[in-house]
Amino acid sequence: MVKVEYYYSPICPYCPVAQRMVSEVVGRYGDVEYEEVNTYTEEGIRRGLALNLMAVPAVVVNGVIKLIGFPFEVEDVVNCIEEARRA
Amino acid sequence: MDTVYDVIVIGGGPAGLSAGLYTARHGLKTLVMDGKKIGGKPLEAHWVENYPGFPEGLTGAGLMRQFETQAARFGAEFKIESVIAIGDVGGVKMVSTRHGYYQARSLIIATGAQRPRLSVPGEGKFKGRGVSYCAICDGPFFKGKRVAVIGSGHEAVEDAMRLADASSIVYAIPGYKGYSEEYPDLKRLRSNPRIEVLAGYNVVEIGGDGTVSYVKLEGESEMRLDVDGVFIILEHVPTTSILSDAGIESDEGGCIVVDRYQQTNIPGIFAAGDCTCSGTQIVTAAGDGGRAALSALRYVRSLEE
Repeated sequence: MVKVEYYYSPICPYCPVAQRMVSEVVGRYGDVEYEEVNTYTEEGIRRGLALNLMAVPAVVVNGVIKLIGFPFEVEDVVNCIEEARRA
Repeated sequence: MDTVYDVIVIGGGPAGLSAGLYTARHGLKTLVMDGKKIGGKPLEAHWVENYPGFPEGLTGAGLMRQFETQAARFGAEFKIESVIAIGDVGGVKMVSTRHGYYQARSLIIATGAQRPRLSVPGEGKFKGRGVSYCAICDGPFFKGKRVAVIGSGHEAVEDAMRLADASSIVYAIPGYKGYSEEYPDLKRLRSNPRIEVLAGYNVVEIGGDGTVSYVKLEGESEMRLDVDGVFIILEHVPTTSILSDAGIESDEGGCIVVDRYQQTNIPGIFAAGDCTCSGTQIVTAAGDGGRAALSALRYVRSLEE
């Protein structure tokens, strides 16, 4: 089972585009668990820092930071998920 | 690739889409190209509330969708391909991409501007692990921590003050030349007890173990600062390297030089928006785009006479 976590902040100007991209790609798969993590919360900050993640938007797949900071492309998101599915 | 467009617009931001709307509406066969996605820099804007006609405001992406829809309605075509070279071959403008080439009677350059990298050791390695390009995005990760803000423009000044609200210490590093202008906020920056301005120094290295733990500075002397984060907030510069190779004149700041009709030094090639440093607003870019389109229209019509 692949789990994708999308880290974002509600006032980050890059995040809405990234969110649309990530959620659209995840939606193509029926077997990918998806969670959005708001880093403007104590919980979100704690979870990010536990991964050494200090920037948004970011995509974490199965607990590993795969994409961090914008821009990234749809293909990048697809590649992350495909790689995790093959593993 | 035998099609010859009347106009190829390079850049799908507000200047390019406005240009495409105008040329298409006047019946010119129009292609709008962008290497990434149609919409340009406003796609990054969470909320736009100063574009006329939308009193409630809307997302940058929403506004750009309306630009695109309006241009498409009049027949503008769109392609997502990165332009790698342009040239003027016997009066026909050639636009090369990795997939082939396109031809046009005129070109409108609307390639925008981008924030440059600092290009020092450690910058890429620690991106997202202490190196950030967006204070409002990533500031919360640095609550109670030490950060450096590198940049000399007004955004760097604003971001240093924003970060000082939560960080324990902010080192403001404008570079050898100091701040670009005497911004009104500089007085507040200099008097903020949590901000230390280090003028006359450049960052030469970012280092750490897993995440950022220090920056090295060079100036009158060498200095090492212990920091947890580095915010690189350099001023935007036009993206014109391909254009200079084509002989399009730009000034020392990299801004394409245009006349009042958006005409560059090469007949039939026009430029609009941030790549001409006309102002970094959607509304000014749109105005430039419309003006460039009308000039391109006159140029194409003159070829037919």
